[in-house]
Amino acid sequence: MENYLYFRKNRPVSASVTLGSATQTCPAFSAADIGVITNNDNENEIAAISIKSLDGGGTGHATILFTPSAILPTVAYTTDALAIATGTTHWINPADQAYENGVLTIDGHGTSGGYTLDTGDIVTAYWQTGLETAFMYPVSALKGIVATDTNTSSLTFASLKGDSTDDVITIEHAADGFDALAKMMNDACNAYPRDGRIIKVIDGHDGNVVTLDANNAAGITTIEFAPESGY
Amino acid sequence: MRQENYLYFATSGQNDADKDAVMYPASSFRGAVTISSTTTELFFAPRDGTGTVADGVLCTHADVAANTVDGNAYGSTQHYTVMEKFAQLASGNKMNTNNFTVVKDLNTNLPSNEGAISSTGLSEITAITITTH
Repeated sequence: MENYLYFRKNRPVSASVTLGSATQTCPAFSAADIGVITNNDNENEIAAISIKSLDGGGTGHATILFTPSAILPTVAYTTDALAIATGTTHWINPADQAYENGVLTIDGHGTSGGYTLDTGDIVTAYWQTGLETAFMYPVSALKGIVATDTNTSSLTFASLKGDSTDDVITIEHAADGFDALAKMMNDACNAYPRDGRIIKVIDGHDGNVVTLDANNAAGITTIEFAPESGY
Repeated sequence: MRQENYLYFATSGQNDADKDAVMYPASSFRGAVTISSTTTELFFAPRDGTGTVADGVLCTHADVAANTVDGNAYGSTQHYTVMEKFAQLASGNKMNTNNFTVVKDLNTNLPSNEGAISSTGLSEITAITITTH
């Protein structure tokens, strides 16, 4: 029998950025909101995107929609377009947009599903579970933990693929937090010997980091997951 | 006798075509990863032993419940429930049985002569896709 270690990345319910200029490339979301920005590319983690017009200056394609209420599980887009005016909120389909390294790039209004943004518009994304948001490894797959600097440590697991390259979870924590992290990992691996259970080690649910150690003595702030590609 | 659970998966096919069904020893489990809000994949050591690509069983499950207020999707626990129940099945103490463990069986060809442990498996899983190497 074996236990299994569960991790979930930091993801908020929603995060917003405000455009400093009229551009289709939005500012990056804050790392404090969505975790590590680099390689934060999984567009299917975004359930919906809204745009709140500062002063009615933007332009939407005729397909731009609004929803009266439901966002989940599937955004209840209506077929009605809403005139863009001061303070109005409009909804665009995430699947029509680009997302890379924590940056949304919105199609312009000349493209179906697009919306030309204006200075001061507020773009809000709503997160959901998506590719590699959460993951679980058997305890026996843990190969080691290493401190890479005072604020960063890495957990190494035997890769899903099973070759000589490992899967790595990078953890940002408080200065000198490695000792507490190592103790927590030891507890995670040994606290319930051969009990056959899943153990939540780090859960970034709703942007709030909850750890197996209720006091989060390591001061963990974010986790990033880098499985070997092509698994 | 090898004291190990063997994990059985079957699609809605009738076990008469390629990748209709598969069975792995629990020790071959390598990990699980969410793929989308409605899918979670379980990975196993590939049967060809090359380490090129893991074998996988992609499990489809329910999406989050409707939320009409703030879009709080991230609280989704459907994937966690699948992982949790898989962990329990994979490591269940089943002394005095033959350790045959149905994780999900979607066809009507239930294994015969398995008595009380023969079942359709996790109710949360509604479809599976098997990838083998």
